[in-house]
Amino acid sequence: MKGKFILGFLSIVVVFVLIVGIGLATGYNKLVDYEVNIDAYYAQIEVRLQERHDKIGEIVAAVEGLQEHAETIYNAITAARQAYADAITSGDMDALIAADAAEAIALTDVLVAVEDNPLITATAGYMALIDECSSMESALAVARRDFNEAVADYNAAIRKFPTVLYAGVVGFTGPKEYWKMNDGAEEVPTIDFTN
Amino acid sequence: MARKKFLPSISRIDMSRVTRTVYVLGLLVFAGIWFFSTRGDYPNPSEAFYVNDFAEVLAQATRSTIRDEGERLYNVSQDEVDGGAQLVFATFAVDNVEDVADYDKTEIYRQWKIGDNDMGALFLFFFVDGELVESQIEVGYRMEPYLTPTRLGQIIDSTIYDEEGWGYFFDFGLVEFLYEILTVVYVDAYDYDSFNYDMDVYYEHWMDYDGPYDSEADSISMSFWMFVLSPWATGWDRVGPIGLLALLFVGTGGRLLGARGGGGSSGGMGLFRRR
Repeated sequence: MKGKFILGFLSIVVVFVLIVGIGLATGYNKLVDYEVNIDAYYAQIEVRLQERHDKIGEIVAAVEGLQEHAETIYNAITAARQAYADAITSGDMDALIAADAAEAIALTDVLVAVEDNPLITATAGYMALIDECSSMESALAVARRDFNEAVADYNAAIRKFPTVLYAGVVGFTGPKEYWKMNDGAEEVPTIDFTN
Repeated sequence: MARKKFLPSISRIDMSRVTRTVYVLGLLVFAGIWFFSTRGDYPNPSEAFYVNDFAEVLAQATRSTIRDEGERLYNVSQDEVDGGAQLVFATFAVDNVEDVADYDKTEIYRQWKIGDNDMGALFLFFFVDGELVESQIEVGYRMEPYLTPTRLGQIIDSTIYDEEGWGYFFDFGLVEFLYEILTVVYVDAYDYDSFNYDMDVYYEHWMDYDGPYDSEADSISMSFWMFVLSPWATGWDRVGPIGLLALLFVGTGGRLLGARGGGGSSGGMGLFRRR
């Protein structure tokens, strides 16, 4: 009778340990997946930012008279490009977010200047570059959204029970930082290239 | 005193009740499958997959051409590196041009999972009262080096938006656009020597076209389910076709019921054009 009781008790303990173990392993693997996603989407943003950075250089080269007739804008785009280069060198995410916003604003200003100022002319390839930049902005918006969704998944996971009990112990400290484009006054304008 | 007989009770299974139950359960399962398969933010692609004329603006010949070329590209590219390219076209009717903002081309691409190996492209055309107001293109990740925004812009401007050329009629402009995109994909992405087409020849084909369209596939599918779920069908009438269908479904990777996306994704690259 006593042996049966011990056997039953041990069975329950084994089943309980198994369930908890499987739960912990599943939760841990999910956290790993979330973190891998965040890294992948961050890398995607970096790729898109580099592509836009290069395109802005081509746009400035394709616009004649920008430096002479819209010096402020020319200087702003030069400063934004320098800020991007510095952010890449430092590897600082906040600096990269600020550079992202500055380049987007500078790019919009260049396009408006070309449209409004008859003294500024664009070369034949300019319209193609506009298509490239329009597409680039769309891709950047998607990359930012994907990154933020991955961060949201991770941040929610480490706060949920039972993950919250062990996430910090196994190295998943958090929460992670979002790609916030509208901190302070640096809100990126919507760029409408469709007209 | 008559001896009381011991006789087990007998009864017949009420077949009509069983039939009704099977019929109702079948309908519920069918409704459940339909309900859960259309729960995305956007409508699911048609069975033809490559052509989704929700605005109902395309001629049968145009739909047929897009579907046939889409299937051919997908099949012949299967053995290539990064094969399984899918080019999917969709038209949407909107009340006004501002309503186009309700559509996210990246979300639609991802919901439809276009292209194996992220080799795909989605072409969206928005219409107000039958007039094209905006075109949007979304390109799969691995298709980006081939269908660049510059190239897409040149192609769409010289076809669909070229009213001096074939673009004077949307269907012709669209088919010329398709052929130009196919040229890029076959030659640049898959190293074919050329993709030759002649719009004058296509024009003759278009004028003479009297072939069927994918509604044929829809009707086959619907009549199949009506037969299987019919209260007059016997058990074997149901089991046989469903079993055969299941075997074929597994054997063809699910493509029996119509083409479907290859699992691809995209990242927002493409093109916007407003007329």
